Amino acid sequence: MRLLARISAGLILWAFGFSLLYALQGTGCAYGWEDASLFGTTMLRWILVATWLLLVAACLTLLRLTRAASSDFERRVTLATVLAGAGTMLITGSPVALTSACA
Amino acid sequence: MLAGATALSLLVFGLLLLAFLRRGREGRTSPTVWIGGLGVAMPIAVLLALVGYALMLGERIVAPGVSGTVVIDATGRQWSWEFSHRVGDGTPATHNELHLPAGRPVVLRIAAVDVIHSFWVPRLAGKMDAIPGHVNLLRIEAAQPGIYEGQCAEFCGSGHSGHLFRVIAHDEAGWVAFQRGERQ
Amino acid sequence: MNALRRHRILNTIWGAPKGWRGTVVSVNHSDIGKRFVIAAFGFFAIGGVLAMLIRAQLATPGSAFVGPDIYNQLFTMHGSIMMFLFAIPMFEGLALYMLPKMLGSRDMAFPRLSAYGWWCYLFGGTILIASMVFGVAPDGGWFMYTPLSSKAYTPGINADVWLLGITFVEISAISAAIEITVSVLKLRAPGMRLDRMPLFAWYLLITALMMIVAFPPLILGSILLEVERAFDWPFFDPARGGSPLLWQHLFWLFGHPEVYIIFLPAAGVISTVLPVLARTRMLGYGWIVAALLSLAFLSFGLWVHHMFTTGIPHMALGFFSAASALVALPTAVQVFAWIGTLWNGRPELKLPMLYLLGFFVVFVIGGMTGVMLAMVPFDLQAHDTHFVVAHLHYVLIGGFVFPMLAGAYYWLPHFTGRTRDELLGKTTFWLIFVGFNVTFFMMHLTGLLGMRRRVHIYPEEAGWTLLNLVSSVGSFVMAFGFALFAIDVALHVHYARRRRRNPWTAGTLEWAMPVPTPAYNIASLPTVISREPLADAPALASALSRGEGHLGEPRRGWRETMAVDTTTGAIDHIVVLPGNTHLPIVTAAATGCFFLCLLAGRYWLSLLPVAGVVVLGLRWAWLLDWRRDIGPLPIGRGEVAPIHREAAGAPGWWGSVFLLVADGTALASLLFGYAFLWVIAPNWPPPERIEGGLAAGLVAAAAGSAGTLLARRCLADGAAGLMEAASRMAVAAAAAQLVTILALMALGVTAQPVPQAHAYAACSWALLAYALLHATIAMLCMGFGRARIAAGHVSPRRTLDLRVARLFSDYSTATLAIVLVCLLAPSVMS
Repeated sequence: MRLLARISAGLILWAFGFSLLYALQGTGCAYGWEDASLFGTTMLRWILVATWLLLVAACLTLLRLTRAASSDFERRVTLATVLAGAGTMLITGSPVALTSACA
Repeated sequence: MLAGATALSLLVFGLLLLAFLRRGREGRTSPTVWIGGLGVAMPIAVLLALVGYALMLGERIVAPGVSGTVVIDATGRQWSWEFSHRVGDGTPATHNELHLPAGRPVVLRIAAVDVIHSFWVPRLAGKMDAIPGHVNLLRIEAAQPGIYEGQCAEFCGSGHSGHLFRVIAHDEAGWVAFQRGERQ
Repeated sequence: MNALRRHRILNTIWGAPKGWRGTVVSVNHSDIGKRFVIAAFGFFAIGGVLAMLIRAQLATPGSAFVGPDIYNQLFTMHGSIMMFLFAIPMFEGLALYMLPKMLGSRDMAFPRLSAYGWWCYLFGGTILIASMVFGVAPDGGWFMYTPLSSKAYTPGINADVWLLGITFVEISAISAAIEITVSVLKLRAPGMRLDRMPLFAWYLLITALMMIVAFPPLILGSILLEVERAFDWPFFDPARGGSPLLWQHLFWLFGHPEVYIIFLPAAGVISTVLPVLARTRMLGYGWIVAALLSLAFLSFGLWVHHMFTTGIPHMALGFFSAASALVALPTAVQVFAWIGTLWNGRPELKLPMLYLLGFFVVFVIGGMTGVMLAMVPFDLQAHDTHFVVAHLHYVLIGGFVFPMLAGAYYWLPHFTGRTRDELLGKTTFWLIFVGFNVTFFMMHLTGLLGMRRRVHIYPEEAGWTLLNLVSSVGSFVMAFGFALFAIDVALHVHYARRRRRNPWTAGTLEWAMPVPTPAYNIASLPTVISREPLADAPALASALSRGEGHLGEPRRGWRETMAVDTTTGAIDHIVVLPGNTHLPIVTAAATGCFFLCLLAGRYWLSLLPVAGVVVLGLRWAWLLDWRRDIGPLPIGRGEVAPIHREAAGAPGWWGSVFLLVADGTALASLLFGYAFLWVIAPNWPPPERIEGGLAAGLVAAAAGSAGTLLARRCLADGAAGLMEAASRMAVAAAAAQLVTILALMALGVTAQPVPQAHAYAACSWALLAYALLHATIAMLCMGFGRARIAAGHVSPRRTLDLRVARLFSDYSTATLAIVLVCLLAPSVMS
């Protein structure tokens, strides 16, 4: 069981981050965070971009799980899924910087 | 996109064919080449380019940020469309016939009164669902004056097949005349 | 004991009586698996006939063959049958039949649950097909979008048949998912570490885990929609704070992972068959496991791509568009791993390989159009056109049917012990392959030319006539192909030659047994030291039938198999499985009566079958009889192990854990719906909030916490041998749960607005009902625990009943807390 949890950790974190971004975006649009401007752009965008970058960094910190791996199989699969999680976080979150938030 | 897809498909089919032709030849290739190179690196490059391009293109289509455009209400019902043109002095309403000026962006406010419908004029591109309780915006533009066929794209019950409408794109003179209430 | 005598004894223990009685009581995984496969093929044939009727209608522009009302039933049933009655049950059947054999086990972890799932599937499927015969089949599309499927626009029972019938069938999907998960994790041959499992088991494990999380949103959505239809609770009615979009979210939150749930088992077949036919081993085992995990997670981040045209902000579309494109990566990893495997091996163009090549061609094209559709601008044009119809058939037929046909030809000798020449099979392949491509390639074009989905007529001047006619002709060619396949299989079963046991010289354990397999699979369990045990020891099969492995000496008429440590595969305990029984079919029949009562609108009457199911369920658990301590028993090869009732990680406990994971997903979906409506839906805030109720809520919270603390004490006392005290604690815990129930009812009645008033009230009542249900379950569990203690089933060694009861109490209290916060926090804070 623990093995399964460890080799899924990177992806679990991505799933959490992805839901978080989607929820923040929906809530922000509904409650008008898009209208509050802050340092040249909207408050909503600052929140989203900051969350996104933090999430990517958090995904990368999971790389240390590979050091705790008890077998070669576990190490390699963990490395692959942590990188997959971090890369996916980077790319699926990128619309926070590239697209219009509420339209 | 079609050319890219064809090229990638042919690459896969070619490698498959070669795998059978080289049967019996010795020498193993490593997983890194197959999986790391062809399975990961190549698709990443292709997909990143595609996603970036699509997001930029989508930003232009989906986000209607143009001021001074014509705004028209489109309401779907079983099984007809009402269009309410907020132009001139009044709001001329039409049944199954959407009038708009050619060569200018038009923003549609799309809604529905009963079930979900979807506004779609294939030759004007873009498609937007009409959902009860929500108002969706869609920006369209007819390059040339003329008549364009439109249809409901979301299944909406037994009249779905016949849930059609037409778009009449006017030239400048025709649009002025329509605004004054003169119908051809 | 010689091999023949061992065979006779084991056959008596594991077999079922001959004739119809055996059919009704059998819980053997091979029997159940084969039934699933055959029934699924039967439903496939029905769905196929519907597809032919659709193509007959569309062959000409203004066809008067059927009217829109019939046509709508045709495509709705075609989609629903193929998804719910064919694809999922087909791989469930394959998994039930094959997994224990591949894992070196004698059965699945919960044989009675498999049988119960089978009967639910059969009865539910029958209800759906019967509705078609009576002309009241669902007609709102397989996606059942509201408001079209709500009472106002579908007043008949058509939509109820779908919602209730499919939910009934889903019971079998959830039970199969739990069954597969626990069996793969626990019931393996000794020594089979996780990274020594055949890849097929990895595929099925991940598929099953996905099912546990993906099906609850649909089940919850169906319940909410059925409650709206039956009692007018406005979850989806925008006039009263609901939103039709909520249904779409819940549906696609299930519906997209569903596509991968169907694809992964088929991909597992490819990863099993392809290396064997290429005379080599699969390339990149670890890569594939990583790809599967990534696919499983990513597939839950795609659902909104079915909703690109619903007016969702572009940023949200961007998240899902990017995820939809990235999901192609793990698939690309697998495709290139397969090609690399072929490249390294010496592939032979045997019949299964031919179908695999068909898979590659069809699936790659489907994948390419899939990436196209993931791009928002393209999708806005192609959405809901025949282009999408073409895409989804390329992916599903390419990604499921072709690999399954390859698997069918690969494993037929295993099912029958016979082999046959390949001529008819090759003809079949070409008919299906050519027919398929002629049918669906054309649809890309008709779609791009603007033809919508789900229309029964189209104008002649649109220029789609020829393309449609060609598609229709192609579909009939394909249908002939499938008919020929059925004939080929029938010939194989009855007339082929008997052959040796491992015709493909495969390395996995399912070929280390006599074929067709005896009811007990293997006379003794092997010790596994690599991924391909049979390749290491070609004589393994005869050694096992000589009883040289574990559990080679049958005793006490027990159905014994081994459970191992999940990760290391070290011996953990002996599982003694229940034998043949009527309970599954009777319980499924009672469940069916419940759904029929609802369908007929007899809501009060439906409580009767509910009571029946509860009683049967308690009896079900009661029959696991164990009134004395047994202690460690010899398992052969000089080793000993305890039996599962005296071990810590027994399958029953794990099964309960995964059931609660599914249950928790349903609650999470409900909470998502509540939050979604609050943020997105029109006509909020609600006219009336919950007022007061704080006192009742606090009482419920206190009683629930007391209940779970007492349940823990009960277990601790039981484990310490203080049976009197444990018994008292169980009674006290049940009483505490009863107080919780009463307090919750008081909260609802005194403080909550009527559910029909607004979606807010409806959601509040739904949450309350959830908490009530679980408090009731916790109460029943504690009552059951008390009775088990009294009857002497519990001892310090045998605490399984109390541990499961504690699990349900803990879950009930945790969810109670969440529900109370959701109900009371908004009014306390405002």
